[in-house]
Amino acid sequence: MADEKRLDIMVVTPERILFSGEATEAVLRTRDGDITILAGHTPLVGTVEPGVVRVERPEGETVRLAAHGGFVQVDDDVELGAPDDGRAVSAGARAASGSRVTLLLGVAELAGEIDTARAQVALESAQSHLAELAGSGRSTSGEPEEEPDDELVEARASLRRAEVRLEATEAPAGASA
Amino acid sequence: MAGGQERVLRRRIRSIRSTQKITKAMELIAASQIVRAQGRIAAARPYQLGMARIVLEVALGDQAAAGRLLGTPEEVTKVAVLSVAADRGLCGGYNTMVFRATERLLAEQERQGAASRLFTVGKKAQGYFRFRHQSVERSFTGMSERPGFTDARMVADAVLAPFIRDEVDQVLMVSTRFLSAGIQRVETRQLLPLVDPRGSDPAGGAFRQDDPGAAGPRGSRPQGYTEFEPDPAILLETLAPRAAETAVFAALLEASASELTARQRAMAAATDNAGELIKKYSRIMNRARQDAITTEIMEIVGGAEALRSDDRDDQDRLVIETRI
Repeated sequence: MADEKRLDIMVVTPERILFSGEATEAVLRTRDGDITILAGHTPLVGTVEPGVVRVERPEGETVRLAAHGGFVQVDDDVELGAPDDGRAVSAGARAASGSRVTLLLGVAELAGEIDTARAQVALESAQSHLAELAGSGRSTSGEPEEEPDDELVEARASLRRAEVRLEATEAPAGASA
Repeated sequence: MAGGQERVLRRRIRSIRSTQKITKAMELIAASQIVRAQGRIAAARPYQLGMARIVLEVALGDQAAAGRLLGTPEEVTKVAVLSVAADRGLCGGYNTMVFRATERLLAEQERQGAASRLFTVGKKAQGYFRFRHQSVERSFTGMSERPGFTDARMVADAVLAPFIRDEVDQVLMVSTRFLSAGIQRVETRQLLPLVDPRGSDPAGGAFRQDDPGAAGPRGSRPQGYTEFEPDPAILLETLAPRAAETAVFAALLEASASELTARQRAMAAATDNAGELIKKYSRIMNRARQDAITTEIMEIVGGAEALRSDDRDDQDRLVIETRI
């Protein structure tokens, strides 16, 4: 962190602030692929696709979380540590300017909070459900499309959720997916 | 008979006293839950603010293509209405206020020639509208006291779907806003299209623009050279339902806090009334007992008097008899 510019990350879910603090970089998945946000990033508004979000803390710690879709907003050259909406001001509280990343995630978990066993079970059941749907999909092709379609979408989504959860809990070495 | 009346009153007092214990307990439970509900409202605020900021940013970045997702539709022929009430009663006028506002809205829409599709939250709403033969497209129950985000998402998905499929032109929501511990007000807000954050809409849209915090230093300063990924128009398509869903969640949270406040107030009043009744009936009962005692004394005295005069008569008679 030689740069004077600071990068603050706030990960917000509808029910609480999941993570808030300083970082050196944040990696997240958008529609076009993984992007890395460093201090001084251009202002950005975009969607976040289901995937693992990785935040590198200045102390060298890595925070990983499973994100199940949402939005990201990057503000550049904003005053950090300003007493707005009660977010935690980082230690030191240098009244520096820098970039602020706000991640709005409808559903998200910190890697440490994920129940791996449960995710594994969910993964398997989603896989078998998908296989079942794929099997029955051919035989009942004459039926109205909407319902099995919805079910398929839902099954795929739950599979993806389980995958992302497991991915988030994996060792940082296997971060690239 | 006097003794009977006393027994009846005593029984009634006992019954009121046990009711009072229940209302008191409900009051305390509601009071303790209000604090938690308020905490949840506060915890949900950052997400709402973040969402409002993104909506603003996108709206500014996409002046032309906002289309039917932003602003107020000019011509409305079909609307979806979401009415947010409670699962339980015993909360004073809370539910009634929402129902009345909903019915007023439905009548208003009908007058303007728009067909409404009604969605409700809360068991009470389900019962009320069924009794009135107002067709309800879908009702959700079991979440009014402690709504989670998954509940909000479920409700929002159902209510917003007709708009996304282009079957309705507008989605409105009637719910109680928790303005403060003392003030709750039933309000109608537009969920979709999103209220244009650029326009100064004093009515306040899905987000609390009237809140000083919402349009604070972060919201009021658009940056002008923001990158969008994907394009604003496409982004808005995914954003709009999510923003509306956030508004539904906020409304559910506020409604739950309002419901609990209304219940606490109603139960406090009920407890007070029970106290009054106990006092009143105790007085009547005491008087009845006093009356009964007085009557008894009178009877005894009267009886004794009668006996004594009887004795005298007897003596007279005896005297007469002996004389004979």
